[in-house]
Amino acid sequence: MAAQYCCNQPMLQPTTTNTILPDELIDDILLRLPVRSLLRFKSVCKSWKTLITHPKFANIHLRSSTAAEDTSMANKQLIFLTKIEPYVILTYHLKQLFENPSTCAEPVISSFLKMKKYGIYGSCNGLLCLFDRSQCRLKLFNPSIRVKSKKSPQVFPPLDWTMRYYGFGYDQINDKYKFLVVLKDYDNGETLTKIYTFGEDSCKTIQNFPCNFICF
Amino acid sequence: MAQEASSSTSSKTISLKTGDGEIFEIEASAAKQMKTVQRLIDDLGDDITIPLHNVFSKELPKIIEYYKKDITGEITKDFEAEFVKDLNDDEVKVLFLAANYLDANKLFEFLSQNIADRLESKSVEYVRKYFGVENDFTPEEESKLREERAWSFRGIKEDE
Repeated sequence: MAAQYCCNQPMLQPTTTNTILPDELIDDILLRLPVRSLLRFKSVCKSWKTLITHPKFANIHLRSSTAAEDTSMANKQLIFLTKIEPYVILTYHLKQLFENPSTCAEPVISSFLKMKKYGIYGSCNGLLCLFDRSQCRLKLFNPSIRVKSKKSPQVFPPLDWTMRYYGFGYDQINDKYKFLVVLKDYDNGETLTKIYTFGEDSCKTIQNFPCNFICF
Repeated sequence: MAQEASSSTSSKTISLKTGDGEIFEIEASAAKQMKTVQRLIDDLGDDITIPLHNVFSKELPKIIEYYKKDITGEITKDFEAEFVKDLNDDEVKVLFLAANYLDANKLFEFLSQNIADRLESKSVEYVRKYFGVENDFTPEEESKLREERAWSFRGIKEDE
């Protein structure tokens, strides 16, 4: 004998002309979309634009797209910066490269004024760290949304230093992106270590940075 | 009549009744994967036909098919591709909603990703219709948005 069970869930119609999904389910789907689709869907309505452009959404999207379980490679890209005319950034989507290895891949091309002066000196969380060697200035560029930062002040004076080591990364504790560079003056053997923090425009010198130089 | 909790549920089947009155059988180990069903079993006992008011006879067999494969560890990419091959965008949406109601996590994740994959190259108009969302931008606001990111509007599939 079946017991009567009182269910508080609203009754769905068995055949709906258009099933409406609750917001939290829509959010779950949106977080799985690649950046390019999300940029387009900002135009769906105002609340979607607010959601998609919110930094919290971007953070969750980044974390889920870089998670180990994500095998879709929907957001993984291979990026080149050309060193000859035209000076552009070429973005290849890894998913296409792996799924169709025998077809010629079409890159997405992005460019901005004075791109010729820059080289790619690191990438982290989808951001490219660009460095202008002649002026020793840094710039961040996000090829997925094609937004670039202003150029930084001079990171170090362009004297006769060699950039021995450099690295670009994200400081999780302070929520800041940083660029570290170890400079060596081969004439007198001096080294100088600088760390630049984006957003703060601050450049600190680090004393006694441990760096073992291998002499060839 | 008081029901004793059975200690071995591995070969037991549970009866599920859909919102439109049809009854389907599922193995107890598969039912365990659907947290809502398991909660109902815990409350009502496993000898009773479990009522699922919000799931219907069109969707439940598909869901049962998925979890039947899951308990034998046979879910592969090929199986999943085949599973959604003949479903249109609206059918996937209804199945997704049912998976949410049943708290069937694995199926939920799979269908959410599948919907995202289907919508990836669709137009803004299609997405609005799909989710039943009204456009509250003025024509000027909308054309400004499109201009700003014109490059992201290229390569869109034709709406069916």
